[in-house]
This record gives sequence, C-alpha cells and structure tokens, in this order.
Amino acid sequence: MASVPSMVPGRTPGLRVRVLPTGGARRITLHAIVHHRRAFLGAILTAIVLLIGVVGAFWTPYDPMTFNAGPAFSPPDLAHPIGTDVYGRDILSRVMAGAQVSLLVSAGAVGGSLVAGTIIGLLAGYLGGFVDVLLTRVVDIMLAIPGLVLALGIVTLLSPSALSVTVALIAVYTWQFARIVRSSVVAVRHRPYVEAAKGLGSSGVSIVFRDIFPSVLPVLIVQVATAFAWGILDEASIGFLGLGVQPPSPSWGSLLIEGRQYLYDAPWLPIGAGAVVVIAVLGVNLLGDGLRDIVDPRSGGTRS
Amino acid sequence: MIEIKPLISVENLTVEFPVRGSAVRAVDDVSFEVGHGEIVGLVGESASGKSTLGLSLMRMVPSPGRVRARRMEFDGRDLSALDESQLRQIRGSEISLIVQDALATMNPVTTVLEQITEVVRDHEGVRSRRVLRARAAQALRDVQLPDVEINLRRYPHELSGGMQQRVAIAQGLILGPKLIIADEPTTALDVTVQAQILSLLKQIRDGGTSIIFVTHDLATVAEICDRVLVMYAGRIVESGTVAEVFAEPQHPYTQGLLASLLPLGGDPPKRLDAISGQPPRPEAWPSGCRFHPRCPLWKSKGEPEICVNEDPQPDESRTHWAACHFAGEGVR
Amino acid sequence: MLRYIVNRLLIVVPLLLALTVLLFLYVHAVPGDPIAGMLGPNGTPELVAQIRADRGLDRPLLEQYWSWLSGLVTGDLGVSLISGQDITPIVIARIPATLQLTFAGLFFVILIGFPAGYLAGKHKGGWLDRILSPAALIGLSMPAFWVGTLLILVLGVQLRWFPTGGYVAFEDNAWQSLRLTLMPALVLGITLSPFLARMVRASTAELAHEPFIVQARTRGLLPGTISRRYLLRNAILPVVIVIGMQLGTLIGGQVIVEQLFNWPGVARLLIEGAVRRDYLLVQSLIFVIAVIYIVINLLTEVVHASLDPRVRL
Repeated sequence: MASVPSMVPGRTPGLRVRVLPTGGARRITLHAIVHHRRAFLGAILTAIVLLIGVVGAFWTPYDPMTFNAGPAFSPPDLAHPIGTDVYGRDILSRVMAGAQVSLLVSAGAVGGSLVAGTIIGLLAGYLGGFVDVLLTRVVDIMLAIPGLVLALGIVTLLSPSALSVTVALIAVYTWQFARIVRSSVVAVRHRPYVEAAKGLGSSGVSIVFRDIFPSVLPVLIVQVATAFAWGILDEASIGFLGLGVQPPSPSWGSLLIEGRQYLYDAPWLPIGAGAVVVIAVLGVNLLGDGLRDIVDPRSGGTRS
Repeated sequence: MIEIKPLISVENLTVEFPVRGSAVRAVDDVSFEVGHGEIVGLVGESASGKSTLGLSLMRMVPSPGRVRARRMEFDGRDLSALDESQLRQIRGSEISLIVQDALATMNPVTTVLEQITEVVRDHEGVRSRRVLRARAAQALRDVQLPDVEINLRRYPHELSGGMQQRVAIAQGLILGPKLIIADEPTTALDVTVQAQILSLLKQIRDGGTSIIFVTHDLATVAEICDRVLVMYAGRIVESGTVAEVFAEPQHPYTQGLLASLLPLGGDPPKRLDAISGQPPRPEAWPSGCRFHPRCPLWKSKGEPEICVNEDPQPDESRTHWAACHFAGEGVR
Repeated sequence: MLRYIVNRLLIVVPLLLALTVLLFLYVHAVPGDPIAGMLGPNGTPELVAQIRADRGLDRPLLEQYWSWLSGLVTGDLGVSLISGQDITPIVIARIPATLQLTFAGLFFVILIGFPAGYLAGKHKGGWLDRILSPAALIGLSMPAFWVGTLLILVLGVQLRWFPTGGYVAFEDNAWQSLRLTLMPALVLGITLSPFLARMVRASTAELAHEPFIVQARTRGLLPGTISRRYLLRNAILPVVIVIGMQLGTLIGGQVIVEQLFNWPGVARLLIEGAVRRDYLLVQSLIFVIAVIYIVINLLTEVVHASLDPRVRL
C-alpha cells in the first residue's frame, strides 16, 4: 500500500533513487509501450478499467441505487453477472458506478501529491541549504508514519467522504514524490549542462523547468503509475474499514464494506467487487512495471 | 626455455560470440605453446582478446561464447574433450586464474580462511578444520602475507590492496597448479607492491609452475617473462623470447609498443604516439593484416595492396616470428 | 555497535519530538471542534464543555502539549476522549496479540518471498521465473481484504479447516492460538511476499554477473558450494533491508487483517478509535505505531550489519 522505504534512521542501504544518465533516460513513447509486452497489456487493462469508469458514469445495466432490481442475494447468473446484494441491487451496476468514484479518488490523490511533492522536491533540491534540511526532515517525519495509518488518522479528522479520502491519500503520497524529485534534482543540479545554463544567465525557474524537470520526468511517470495503483488499493482498503465513502453511494471501497457484512450470504459481492479492484490494480502495475523497464532497462525485469 | 614436451599446446583456437545472427570472433585462430616452468607474457591493448584467450584455456568464456580449437592439449589431456565436471576438477587445481581486481573476485561475506580452504575442501575432500586451517596458513605464508593468523579471520574488504592480491594468489596456488593465468595481476597496485607481487610470481615460476602473464605493460613483461606473445585484434602477431622481441621487434605493432616505452636513463623516445588511432572492435576486424589501418610501415611503403587483401602467414615453427608481410623491416 | 545505536537514537529523538508536535497540531489546529464532531447531534454545549474540562482540553495549548509530551516520556499516553480511560494499559493489553500476528506474518512473508525470489533470480528467464514473476505481480495487485475474504470462504467456510476469526492467547491454548493465527498471517504472507520476492529476484540475478561468482567457477568449486556460500549468502543480505522498507506496508496490511479476522490488536484499536472519532486515542496510537516502526527499522539495520561484514556500525 502506501508507505515505502524507511527514511527514518538516515542510511537506507541499497535503496537509492536511480538517476538516469544524461540523455540516457529512454523516452516513454507510444512505440515503446506497444512493443513492450507487459506495458502494452497493462495499458490495455488500464484503458478497459478507465472505460468502465466512464461508461459507468452514464450507463449501467440497472440503476445502481434501485432496490429489487432482482431477488436479494441472487448468485451470479446471466441477468446479474456478479449477483445481487441484500437489497436486490445489481452488483455489476454498482461496481461500474463505483468505478468513477474510486478512479477519481485515486487520480485526485496522485495528481495532488504529484504537484505538491514535485514543488517540495524541486524547492529542496534546487535551493539546498537550510530549506533542503528543513524539507527533508519533514519528509522523514511523514514517511515515519505507515501510510495507511496516516491516511486513517486524517480521514478520522475529516468526515468520511470521497474528498477526505483523496485529501488523506495526498498527505500520504506527497512525500514519496518529494523524495524522488529531490534526489533527482540534486543529482542533476551539478551536471555540466545545468551549470552551463546557469553560466548563461538563465533564471532559476527556467533552469528548473527547462533543464532539470525533463530529466526527472521519466522517473516521475513511473511513480505516477505506482501511486495510482496504491490509490485504488488504498481507497478500497479505507472503504473496507468503513472510513471512506459511505454506503449506499457506491465506490469500490464502500461496496467492500457491504460485502463484509454479508460475507456468508453473498460471497460473490466481496469476491466480485474485489476482483475488479485486482484487475484494475494489476493493469496499472503492469503498466508501471513496463514503463520502468522502458525508462531504465537495467531495473531488473525480464525484457520482452 | 622451450621444453620438448610443452605443458599446454593450443592449435587454431577460436572464441566466438554470437551477435545478431553472425558470430564475432574475439580470439581468432590462435596457436601457441607454454612450456613447463616458464612465464609467457601475453601482451595487447584492451579488446585485443587477451583476457578472453586466458579464460578460454579454462573453457570459461562468458555465455553465450563458444570455444573451438583443433587441439587444446594440457599436460597430456585434451581440454576440448572434457565434460563440465572434468573441467571443474582441473579449474582451480591444475589451472588457476588470478585477475586484476582481487577484492571484486572475493566473496564479500566470508572470511579469508573460508575462501582459501573451500578450494581444498571441494577439490580434495578434506574436511578436518584443523588440517584446512593449517593448509590455509601455509598458503598465506608461501605468498609472504604478514600476520597470517590475524588475516585468516579477516574479511576481504579489511585487507589492503596488496594483501588482497596475495590472498588471491594464495587461493590460486594452494592446490599446486601446473599453470597460472595471471590477468593483469598488478595493474591496480602501487609500484612497490607491484614489484613485490612480480618477484613472488618469479618465485612461483622457479618452483616449476608455468605462468601466462596477461598484460598491456611491456615493462613488466621485460621484467619477469621468458617469452612473449603479442596480441592484436584477436590474433597473435609476434612471438619470441623476451630477449629476441625486445632486441629486434619484427612487427610494426610491437615496434610501436616498444617505442612508446620510456627507456630508463636513456633518451626519451622520438614519438610517443607510436601507434595512432583506436584499436579495432571485434565486430569489425579490418581485412587482410588487421593492423594495416594503423600501421606506419604500411603508410610509409605507399599502402601496398597485399596488406589489405592477404593475411600474413608467418612461419610459426621458428622461435621468433611475426605476422607481417614485411616482418623485420620496420620504420626506425 | 553500541555507539552506532546511540548515534541513531540521537537522530530519532528529534524526529519523534517533531512527530509529537505534528500529532498535537493534528488534533488541535484543525477547523471545528473535535468533541462536537465526536458527539454529533447529541452534543449539547453543556456536555461538550464538560468533556472538554474533564479531558483538560480547555487549558492553554502550550500547557496541554507539555503535559501530553511529559506523559509520553514517562509512558503515559493520556486518556481516551470518549471514555476518559487511560490509554496506556489498553494499548499494552493489545500488544501481545499484535506482535504475535506481526511475527507470524513476517514468517510467511520470508517463507514465501525469499525462496520464490531466489529461485526466480537464480534461473532468470527460466520456466520457474516465468511462472513466479507474473505471480508476484498479481500478488502485488491483490488487496489484503480480498485475499483474506477468499481464504475465509475457502479454508474457513467451505473446508472448515480453520476458524474464521478471533484470538486466543498463546499461553492459554497454544494449539488453538496457532490455528487462529494461521489464516491472518497467511494473508500477510501472500500479499506482502511479492515485493520481497521481486527485490530478491533482482539482486540474485545481478549476483550472477558479479566477478566473485565468475571467479568461484574458475576455482573449480562444486556447484553446491557456489549456490550456498556465494549466491545464497549474498542473496540473503537484501532481505533484511526489504523487510525494513516494507514495515509500513506490513503495518498497513495488519490494520486490514486485524479488522477482517476480529484480531484484538493495536491496529484494530486504531480502527475502533477512528470509527468512534476518538481523536486522542488515534493521536496516541499513531505515535505508538510510529515508535514501533522506527524501533523495528533500527533493528533491521543492526541485523543487516551483523550479516554483512562490509557494513560497519
């Protein structure tokens, strides 16, 4: 889920952000994705899941909120591919309608933390000195709290809703982005082409965005994919704990808490809704894995 | 120096690496012999195939490389006919390899004692800790490592560079091999330690062990070798005793290498850039004599066709020969 | 070694101090009144004021922080917002159950993750790798609650091999306690081992190119010696680091698993506190969990140093 390496006591052997050699960072192109088996499979799965989210926003086989669309606790059959729940609502329709909430929460969490983390990382890495020390400490502290625990703490404080889950996840993911960006910037800052740009009198802002940011970009893209997968998992987990989007409005998280209540009567609900989560996360993970391979062929995967 | 019956005798050895459908020959059709108790220098630039040649004598080239040879006779056995388990018995016990970066070749998580004794255990089946320890201590004393008892308990990274190299040599020597392939064993060391290691190798030779000394440094060749093989672009281009080759180099490449040596106390050489240009890559060996694009002799002779079109065919039965159409002419 | 630990603690102490500030602000600097929020529509102003006075929340902020902090130093975690009970004994009562599950989970993580990663890395590209690598990616994509639900349905409901939830202390009934631990621990193992497996696979595959492995072959060592003393002993090194890295995820997974299996641990207490909006309880529990996290992290570093002679503490 959310939390990643221990920053806590300073040295973390063996875990460094790999900064790619200047110009050596492979570009992520459509061509590269299509020709990479895992990236391509991941992209297709992700696209299907996104499509379900979009379609589910406008059309579902049954109204996701209507009771007695079928008999209660109907096991999967042709009319209801994942069965019905305690109120006879069609689970497939609810999964489709819930997709948009889950995907939006995840996308919002990734977008928000990407922006916040990038700003923090750029500031710390580029300005250095006191600002760097301070921001790095803050990142350390935040990463010292296990991700899901931090998210729960924040959700508790706000009212349980899609927005609070998004905010909580931003507060969890930002630091990882900040750390990646910072170490990339520090590694790049003293490279000759950046020094040259400084020598030519470029302003700080333009150096950051024209010379530094592009070299950080591939690593960030990979991290975005990873975080998006976390987002889907974490939204579902928080929902499962009963602290996320509240029933009856559907999200993958809220479906799961209903599923838990009727585990023995309607096992297809948690299994089916969970399987959709697995497929969505698997797609994004495949894509992220493939992108990492494309960006950095040495990262360890079997190339295909 | 050459014995009647050599220790190892290689005919038409080729090492190939398949690359995108075709095969790249890192070592191309090489023949040579090493006699008992002699040090043969194998000299060449990087990518000349000298290290690959050394490894191929143990049939150990990195996959997917392939070793082919008409004959590879080592101490009365045909190396190319042995299977992997027979080869394993020869590796480390009869033929040892010592390489440049001793630290990188040692297991970082086990002690010197374990690293030296595991060879004895695996090859001779010795189990007794007491015997193994005594053997290891003796091996380290043989290579003149100080404070043997303390160093046995140390980990590789706790030793100095010279000590690491001594331990590596002790590992290679402990089973009394007949042949040691020493691949630039002194390159990473500072000068005084280099001299100590070289004199150690000479002592080992005097004990009857043959050594193939792979290097790019002619000065060390002059210091310790009996014979020298000069390699260029996967082939041996000159072969002879050290005295012959240094006094009268016949191949323009050897002449260039010698000219770039700074003679001690003598006049500085006239041309430091005796060999201009980059060494060729195995994917694109030049045609004919592979040295011709960089050969000053070829240029001074008005770029004769024969060098571009025909492989030189030296008379390898002589003690001193060079693979050059104009061997011995030289531009001095 | 001792000096290293002391040095580390010197870094950790300011970190924890900053964390207390953050957690304190978390409860007090947020908009709205936490007590009113907790009580919801039942919260008459009188009741809110009474609870506030009871819990000492009407004192100046700095004074409140100071009393909380000095409490923490002496092991006093303060009182629950809802019940007013001391938190410390409640937490202590739950720690054995939590640690039992954590270590049982770690056991399965290593039992599944290390051999899978090692074998896949040793024979990279081979048939085993081609089964294990996709399996690891799928495992990485499976939420703990889903795996847990499946296990409950199959092993618990269908096959009736294991109880579907609950906890018995080990010293009360060892056999029953182990039976109850197996499924939740297995869930942690299945969902968290893929990450370890992938890291071990990558590092083992890289080992094959290390000069010391090549050199071991030129010395004619037996294949078994090379596997055991060269590959295996070096492949074990990253395990400890990965465990340290994954600790946060393990704790996150434990939150889910304790909830799913009705496991009366610290993580479940956190959920109970969160659901009932007991901010003071959540605040203290986050602190406790962060301390556990940091301490275990420190432990992994010490273990790593003792396994790898190159690391000096």
